Amino acid sequence: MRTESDAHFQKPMRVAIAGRQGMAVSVIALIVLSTACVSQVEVKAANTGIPVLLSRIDRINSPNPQAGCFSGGSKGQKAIDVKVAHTSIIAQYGSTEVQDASAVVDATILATTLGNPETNVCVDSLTASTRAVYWVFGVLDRTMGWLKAHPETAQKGDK
Amino acid sequence: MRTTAHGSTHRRALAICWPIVVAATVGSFGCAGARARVVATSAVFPVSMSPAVRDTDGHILMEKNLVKVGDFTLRFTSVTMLWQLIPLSRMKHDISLEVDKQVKAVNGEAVVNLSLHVRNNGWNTWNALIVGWGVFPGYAKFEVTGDIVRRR
Repeated sequence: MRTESDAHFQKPMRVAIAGRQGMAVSVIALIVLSTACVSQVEVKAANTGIPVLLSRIDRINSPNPQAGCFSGGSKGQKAIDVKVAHTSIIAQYGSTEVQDASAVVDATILATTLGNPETNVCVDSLTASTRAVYWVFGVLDRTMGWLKAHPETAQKGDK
Repeated sequence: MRTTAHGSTHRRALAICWPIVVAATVGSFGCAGARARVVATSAVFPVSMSPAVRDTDGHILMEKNLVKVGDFTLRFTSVTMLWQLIPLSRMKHDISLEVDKQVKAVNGEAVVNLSLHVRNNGWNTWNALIVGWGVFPGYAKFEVTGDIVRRR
């Protein structure tokens, strides 16, 4: 049997419970999001045979800038073998793995493709938009790769 | 009576809203710290983040074709405030002069395996979480390292 006094005490109780839930949510959010504050980021491209240039000079003893972005090469069209070590994988494109999860590093990276200077590719920094493009291409690339590996599924879809 | 009902509604609204406000505030903590843009556009020597660099004729030179003659190291600090909106130091760091100086000093021909290491620090965490919620200046330490090489 509920009395008036019970009803009187239940309202603050509900508020208190909501407050505790809110506190729990906040603590979890704090722990998760504060990891960004203690992160370390390392940008490197040690696992590729392609020169990944920060300089405009792209070869030894060359007096003139020849790197792709500055000689009419395409820009931002294709991810190259740049590896960024961090806590989470943002994108994968073909054999390329681009990992980044921080806005701290915004290094300008110029890359030239192996053996064919005319199709030089330039990746202009790991900005959020670049990462988003990589992510989309990564998803498409993986989907296409999976469909190629499972042609029977693709044929069923066509029927 | 009316005051009590109003107070209760107010408390309930607070109980619902404050976690959202706290979560939004905490979400902005990740923006505390600093950032920098590292370039080497005017370096006289090629600077590569990979172990590969091109020879004068365009051929790719890998580690087996190169000999390491020194280490390239450059450290700097970048400072910003108000969740990185206000830069208090240069945002764009051109390492060209330092590259040229260090490569010439050891008679090298290029820098390979260049890597950029960014370390956050305790102050940013303290600033973000407790003291200023990211409003006060934060900083990050950057370390650029690489191998100075020349052809075999």
